[in-house]
Amino acid sequence: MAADWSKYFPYTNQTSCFIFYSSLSKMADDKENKKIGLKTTLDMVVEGCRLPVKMSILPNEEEEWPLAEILSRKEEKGKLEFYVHYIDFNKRLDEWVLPDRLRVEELQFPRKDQKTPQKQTSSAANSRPTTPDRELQEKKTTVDRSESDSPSPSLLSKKLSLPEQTSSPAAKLGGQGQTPQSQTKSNAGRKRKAIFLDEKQDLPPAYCNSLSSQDSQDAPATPQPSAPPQQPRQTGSMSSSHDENIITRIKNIETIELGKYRIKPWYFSPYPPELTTISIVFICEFCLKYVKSRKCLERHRTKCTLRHPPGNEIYRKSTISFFEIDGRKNKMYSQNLCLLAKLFLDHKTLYYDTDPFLFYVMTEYDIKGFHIVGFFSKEKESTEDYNVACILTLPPYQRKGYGKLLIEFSYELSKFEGKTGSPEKPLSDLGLLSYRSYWSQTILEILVNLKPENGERPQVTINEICELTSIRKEDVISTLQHLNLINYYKGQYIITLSQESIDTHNRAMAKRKIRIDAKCLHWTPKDWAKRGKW
Amino acid sequence: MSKLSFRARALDASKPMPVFHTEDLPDLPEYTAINRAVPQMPTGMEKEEESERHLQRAMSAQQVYGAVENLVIPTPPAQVGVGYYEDLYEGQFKPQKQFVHVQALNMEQDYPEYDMDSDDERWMNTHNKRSSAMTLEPQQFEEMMDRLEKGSGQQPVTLQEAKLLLKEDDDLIKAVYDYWLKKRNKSPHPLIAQVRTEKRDGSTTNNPYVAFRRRTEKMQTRKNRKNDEASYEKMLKLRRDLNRAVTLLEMVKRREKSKRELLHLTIEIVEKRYQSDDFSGQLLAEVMAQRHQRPSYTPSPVPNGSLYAAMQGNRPDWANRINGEQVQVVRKKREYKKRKHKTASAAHVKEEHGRAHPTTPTYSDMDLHKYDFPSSEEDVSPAQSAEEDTDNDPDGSFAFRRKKGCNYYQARVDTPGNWPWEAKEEGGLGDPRYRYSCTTLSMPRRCVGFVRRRVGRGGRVILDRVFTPFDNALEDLDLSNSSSLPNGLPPSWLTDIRNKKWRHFRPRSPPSEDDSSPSQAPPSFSDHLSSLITFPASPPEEISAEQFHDHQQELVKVNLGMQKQQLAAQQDEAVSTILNQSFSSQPTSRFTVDSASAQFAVSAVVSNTENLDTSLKLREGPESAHNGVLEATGSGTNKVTLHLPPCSSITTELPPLPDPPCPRQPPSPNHHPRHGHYENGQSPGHPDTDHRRGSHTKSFLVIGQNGRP
Ligand SMILES: [Zn+2]
Repeated sequence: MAADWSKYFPYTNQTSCFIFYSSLSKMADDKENKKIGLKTTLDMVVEGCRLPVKMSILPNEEEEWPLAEILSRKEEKGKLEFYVHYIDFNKRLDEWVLPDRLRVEELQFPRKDQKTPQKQTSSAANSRPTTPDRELQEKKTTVDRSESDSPSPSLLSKKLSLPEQTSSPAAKLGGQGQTPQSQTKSNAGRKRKAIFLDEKQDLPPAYCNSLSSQDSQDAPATPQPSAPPQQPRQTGSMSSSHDENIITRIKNIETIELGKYRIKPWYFSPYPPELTTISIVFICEFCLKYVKSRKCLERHRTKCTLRHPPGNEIYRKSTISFFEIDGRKNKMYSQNLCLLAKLFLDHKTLYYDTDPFLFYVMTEYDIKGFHIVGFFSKEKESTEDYNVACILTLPPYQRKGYGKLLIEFSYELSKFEGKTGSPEKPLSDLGLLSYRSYWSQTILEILVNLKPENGERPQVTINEICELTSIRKEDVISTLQHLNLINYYKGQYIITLSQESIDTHNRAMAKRKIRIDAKCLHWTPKDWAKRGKW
Repeated sequence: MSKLSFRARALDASKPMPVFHTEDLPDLPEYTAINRAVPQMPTGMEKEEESERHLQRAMSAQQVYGAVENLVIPTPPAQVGVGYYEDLYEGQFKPQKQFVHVQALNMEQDYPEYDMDSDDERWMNTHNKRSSAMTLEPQQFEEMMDRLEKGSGQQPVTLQEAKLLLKEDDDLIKAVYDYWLKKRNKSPHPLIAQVRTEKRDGSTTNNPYVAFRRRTEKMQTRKNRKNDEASYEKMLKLRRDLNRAVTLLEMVKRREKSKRELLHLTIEIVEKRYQSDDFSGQLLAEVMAQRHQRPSYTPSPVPNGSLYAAMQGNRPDWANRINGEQVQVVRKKREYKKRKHKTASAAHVKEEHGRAHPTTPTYSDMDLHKYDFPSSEEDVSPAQSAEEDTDNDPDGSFAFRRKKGCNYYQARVDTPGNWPWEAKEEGGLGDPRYRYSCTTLSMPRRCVGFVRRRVGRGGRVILDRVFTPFDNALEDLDLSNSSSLPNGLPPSWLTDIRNKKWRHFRPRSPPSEDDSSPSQAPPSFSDHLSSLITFPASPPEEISAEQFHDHQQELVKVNLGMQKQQLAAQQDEAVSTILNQSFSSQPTSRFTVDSASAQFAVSAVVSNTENLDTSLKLREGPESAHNGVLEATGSGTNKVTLHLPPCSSITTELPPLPDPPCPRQPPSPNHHPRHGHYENGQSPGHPDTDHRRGSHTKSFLVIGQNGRP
């Protein structure tokens, strides 16, 4: 398997034209001085360095030492710890590790003017063999990451967000004002530039460390050295491009306790900074209020009478219910929900208030109440026909089919509205898998059950599929392509079903025991446009 | 798509596609070359994440097996197992058959947000042990902590304020307050953990811990946008009006309470007198005498009284005073004094009981903020009070704070302006005297060339200078010294100026020359004033703009009349005392004049015509009234202050060119030659008069113009 993955490791290749890491292994070879050497080396392991780190997440698999980037280091009670991001693994696996998990001998320094190639896309990386070295040398002064990537012109078009990303820091460093073009782009562009702090590269490691270390309480409150004020667009719920702010790249909450579950967060979430210094944040499972201690939660529970999300129940079948919450009318709950969701959604943005969103919370009932399982948010008015903004199944309920249930419900709402819809982009890895799976099963369900008409071969149009499912046309096509069902045959497009795919489908459907029952949905769509303001 | 176009037609979403079984099409693989050309739709994921290994593995599994099966994407652990779950979520919950429906009103939580922690519990237990009489319940404690915490901004509330916030026993308040303060001072964060909110100064734009920012108020471009704005404004208006009603009712309540107190006290006095056989009132008089010897604890009871009167909506009195003749004014004044006497006596008795002054309620800052004084056009929102939490205010320390006693008016957009030099149809006076004229300052005594005068904000006198070719020559011009002929100035000019062919404004010449009588005030005088005078503060009464304007005019008349009356009536000593006070209390350093230009402005401020005696005395005083600025200090609060802008008081404009000699407009027949100068200044005013306008009326600036009889 390691061999297969090597193609994702352009950086390990010392001859690679655009990544220049020098290995420290020679220094470490000196076995007589190993102890001194190790100590020296640990001091050298600073932000931006790369080295193999032993991954802890996969206990049942063989020991893995993927290349990882050092994002931060901290010293607590004399113990040195490093925050590592495993290259080509999702950020949710990033973690604090002790020095014994670092393979320091293979430490790679970031080239002085070379930024961590965080921005690299696989396609770009693979198809960029010959960017001349000297071009990079010429670009020494450029600090921005994407710019130092210096893609060939043909690739530029693919990197939609590039102009925006380059604008602010480059302009700042070059002493030029922001160009009007970059301004308009950041406003009009579909992709929104996340505000980031590129100072990381210019600052001594200690500074980065203090910014990110968990025991530095004041760090978050300190106003960021001013990048030109840029605000994200005001619609949608996703921040698409990577937030380069080092603070948001590091998980800030250690553990949460929600109901009877203890959950390790996946990403940064802007809970009050004072909660980032404690080991567990306690969250009331019904109103989602966060408190610092079990005692506080105990006290809260004596006052909080909620046993279900504070909205109207619009669906109930068996133990599954859905509650609709208006982000404007119930701000407190909506904000608490968003904070919780952010712990598990990388690209969710909490920049703006929750007013333009509705939240559909899925619960499972037991004798204690309606327990939150997952939710999705939805813009009251979506200019891009999104029917889902953010969607999340809480980790304890994942891989049990709830995600598909949430998706199914979101399309059920769209059917009630008589529209097609699509989830807001970017999708997460888990989101993509869930949606693909849902789309595949839903479309296959239609195709498999098509009956021949008047002895003719059954026919179907893409539009018909859209109407039946409320899945947006592009998603239908992409699914058909993904499943290899669409073929150009003798001058026309046809759909082909193999017996294998039918069998697979039937097996998968047999596993989907819980389905959304439209009869149990009591809901009338509202025309929010007519209401003026949400 | 381009690649596709020459191989196969574009996919038509409305074209029926037959559904085949792969087994029925054995020749299909021959066409797969074309099929491969069908472009892949984007996944919708971030490019760099698409390549993540676990995802790639899962996606291939999905494609091959139709399901991810065992090749799941690993995630950080989530475990079941909170042993105390049962304790935290006690009891059972059985929902109804019907769907859960929440009332909008029920969503507001009515319990304290503050949750007691272990430290609090320990403290509370010790507290309860110590004072068994006052057992503190957890929720009661939380309620108190909650109020204290929410009542505080960046600065914790004081114990005094805490007592207002909490409705508990004083000892209990003290105990909890002390504990809270200690805890709060120890913690660098608010005690109720809250998500950081934005500050409007932009410092939080990039702070990742700041969330849920307000979307810009800008409304979406929609058909109903206009309607929205209109109804929004209406709502604001409605809120303001309702706020006023609340204020009014609160005050009525206070008044009635005071009345009741007064009644009780009067009864008490009568009873006491009856008990001590004081039928002649002798005892009362004695006590009264004692009372008057005591130093007043309020620096000036009069303004309080008048404020009180004004607050109670004593408008008839006010209006009468405004509209009335001089005699009427005096009568009213007596009435007023009488009432003051009454209140004083009542107050006295009250004091004997060791209680607060009942009939002259002192409105503290708190009150003023609470009672949301009405202002003409502004949206009066409680959030704008100075008490507002600066921490939460996006504007931080720069937030607008309503200054107490100030009325705020909307900018006028209907008229281009009412500068005195503007034409009458534009709201100005169209008076030639406001044109650019040759002007001399008294200190430093020199000619500054051609200057136009106007009164700026806060009563500042602004001289707009204009460049003329004579400037250099005029600078040396000293008309008091006839022997000095400035260089380069044709002698004929000087003659022209002397002969008043040119209008020349200069400080008053030796007093002997001045024989203008105060009674000769020009009829249009008050008209000038109405457009020139600004009342920095007006009584906290509800009056419309027109009313206010009328009041201003009337006020000026009345004030002038009263001053005359008072000056006549009062002994000379009194006047001179006032003047001496004002002179002595007015060192030059009072003004932050840091440039010569500011002095120019000062020099333009001279005393009022009507106050001739004062002005004369002023000039007699050896340099005591610097540059003719008179500061009258009638009483502690009646200070007339001039606010001088540091250096911007003189603005120089190039156009329009002056018309210096102005031959088309010869001096009016009764124009006194020696009155070619202008004077303006403040009337010292009688303390009472000024107080009636409200204690916060700080300045009353009159620009007098005796250039025309
Ligand atoms: Zn709760």
